[in-house]
Amino acid sequence: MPSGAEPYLFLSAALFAIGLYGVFTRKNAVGVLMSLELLLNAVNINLVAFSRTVDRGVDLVRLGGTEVGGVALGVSGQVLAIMVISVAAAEAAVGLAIVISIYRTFRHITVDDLDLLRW
Amino acid sequence: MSVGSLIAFCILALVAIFGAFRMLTSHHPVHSALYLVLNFCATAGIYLLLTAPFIAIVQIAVYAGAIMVLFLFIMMYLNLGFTRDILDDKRRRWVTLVAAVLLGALIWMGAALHGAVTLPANALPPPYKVEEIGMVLFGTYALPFEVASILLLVAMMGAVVIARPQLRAESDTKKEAAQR
Amino acid sequence: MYQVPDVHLLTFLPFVAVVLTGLVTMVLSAFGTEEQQARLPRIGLLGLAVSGIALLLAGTARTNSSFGGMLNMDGTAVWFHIVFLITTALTVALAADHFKDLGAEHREIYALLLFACMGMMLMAAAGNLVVLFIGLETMSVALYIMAAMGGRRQESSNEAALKYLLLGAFATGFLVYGMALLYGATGSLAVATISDTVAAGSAHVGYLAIGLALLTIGLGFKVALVPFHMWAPDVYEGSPTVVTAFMAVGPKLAGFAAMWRILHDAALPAQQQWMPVLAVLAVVTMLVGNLAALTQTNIKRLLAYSSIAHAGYIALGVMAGNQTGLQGVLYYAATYAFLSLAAFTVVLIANGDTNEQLHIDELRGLGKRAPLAAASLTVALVGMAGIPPLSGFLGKYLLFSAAVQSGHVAVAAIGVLCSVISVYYYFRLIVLMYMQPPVEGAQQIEITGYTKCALVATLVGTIILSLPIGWPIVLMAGWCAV
Repeated sequence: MPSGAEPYLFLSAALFAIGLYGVFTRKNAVGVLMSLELLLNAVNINLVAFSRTVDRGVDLVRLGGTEVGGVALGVSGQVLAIMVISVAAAEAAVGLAIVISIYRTFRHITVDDLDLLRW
Repeated sequence: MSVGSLIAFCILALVAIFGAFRMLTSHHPVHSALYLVLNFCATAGIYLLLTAPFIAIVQIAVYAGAIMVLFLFIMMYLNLGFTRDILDDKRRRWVTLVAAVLLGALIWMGAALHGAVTLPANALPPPYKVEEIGMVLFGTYALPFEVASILLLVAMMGAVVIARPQLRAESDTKKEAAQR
Repeated sequence: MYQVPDVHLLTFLPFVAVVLTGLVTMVLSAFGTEEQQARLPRIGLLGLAVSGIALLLAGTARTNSSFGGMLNMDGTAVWFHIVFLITTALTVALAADHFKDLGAEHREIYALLLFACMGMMLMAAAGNLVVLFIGLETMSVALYIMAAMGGRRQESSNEAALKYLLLGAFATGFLVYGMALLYGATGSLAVATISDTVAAGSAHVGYLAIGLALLTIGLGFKVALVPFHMWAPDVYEGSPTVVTAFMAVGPKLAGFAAMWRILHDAALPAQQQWMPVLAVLAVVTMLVGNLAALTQTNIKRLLAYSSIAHAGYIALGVMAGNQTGLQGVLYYAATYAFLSLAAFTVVLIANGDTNEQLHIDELRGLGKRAPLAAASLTVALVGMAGIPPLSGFLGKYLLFSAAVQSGHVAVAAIGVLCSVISVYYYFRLIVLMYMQPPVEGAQQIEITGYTKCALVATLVGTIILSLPIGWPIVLMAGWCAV
């Protein structure tokens, strides 16, 4: 029976792959944005799983840098996960604002008609 | 992992994947969003299994709560209805599918490929204290924490700037009137 | 007695200056009076100047780490910071003249530029992956917003902004997945600890390799390396030209700074793994960028492909990963910033503020219509082509010789070949400007105010970097590279 982070990694990779498929096949801009949220969510599973298994810990430091002594084990990955969540919120806000603006000018939000992935 | 937690993990993982899959295949955007909420809730359960309750709460409150409410609000604001929300180009769908599966497989293979020396893996998860997250977030990681607030400020400003009705229509018509 | 032992205020002051100025301009752009809003560009420039002075002090202090290792203010960081401050200052000057005429009231661009500048500075000075990530995202989100500020050309700029946001967020997914695997491989997010763990051989090989690959893909999107470049021409074309000018310089160089922090500072012991990958990417990027530029008729698309080609050259220096490589990256970053901004300034001038699509034929006769602009564009193009007296040559020489030193002679040879190809499309523009008569009804163009200052500043910068008196700067780049 696996005991480390592997099962979580497998789950995360599967969710990431589903999100990836969504980003490239959804026609609706809101659908693409939701798939992107799924991508970031998948990565967070990795971060939390690693923080609870392989973390080396960070020195506890008071704001400004004074050493207070002691090591916080197993949380630094979660700090990055919190940052990822706030980034996801920021990107969703800006992305949806752009979607509204596009809807005002084009009267639709179909990504394919916007010729999005021309290569 | 004990047998109980393994079973719990399997159930939660299946629910998460089901939610993600249905998010992808639903033809109504609101259904998609609700399936995504299901996925986020299952993920929160996974975090509880990993003894990370703080992240689990944040996941529910911010992801499933704030972000998805924003999505639902926009969907209803734009009055999005049933659509066939998937590309008609079959070839590109297949290419994407293969690429996604390959990427997932690659990461799995990476997990299977062990290094010469493995990490000093903690046999048990380290003890969990929410205070420690606070100490780390406001102490060691104070700088990125502060910058995150600026990021959110920028996003807020951007949402206002982009989504506010353009003044151009007004100024353009004024100019045209002046020209006449 | 309150003690501040580790936050070296000096190393932190440049960021504070930029952020505070950003906040002031943001508040004024929303609530200020007309007079105050007219002063926004000057406030922004003042803040950037203060930040620059603080930076020079920080450079003399040479106290590397700050905030418990979150910031790493070494020579590389200081050099990149100077380049970013200059880039932002020039863009602020361009925005002052060319943004108000787009038809929409987008005064917020100054605040966004300053916040983006802070994000880029954080990326270049990151001592921890969390700082790098949050800096990159602050920069990116500000850029998505600026790309959407199209004014009268709202359709194309909205489309560009959406494309940029979706692909940028997609790249973020890869980047943060790579960070997660790097964290899993080494158990730490601090660059120094990661480096130690990799050097000690106690990192998980599988996670490390795949994590680095995903990080390279994510940053490859941000700096537009082929095959992750497809968004760049469309986004550059659709965005307002002022924003394009910034986009082609700032985020690209910041992406390379981040790439250096990750691949070199954190994962140098694993160089054998990432070096061949980056070599292939650099070669493909140089070839595709230069060959695609040959057929472009829209000047913004042409400059977009040219910027992709330049990303390929800089990637050579990162790939080499040695002293000469870093020196080359630093010197070329400054050179490219001036040259590219000069080119885009002339595009803005020739375009007459309308922000319409600019066909290269509209440059015909620019030598007569606006001699200063034509001369600047000539200098910029000759510099980008890497013709000897100008700074582009020395930069390319450093980058190619770094590639040779790292044992990639063939790669360097392809680089030289590519710069020869690039001479064709750069010189085609110069011929158009001087040898062809102007289009019917074209008028003389007056260059005034901020635009003139910006144009002269880019010219002076290029000349200082090119002249023998600029060569101490090369030495300084070498010193920063230590």
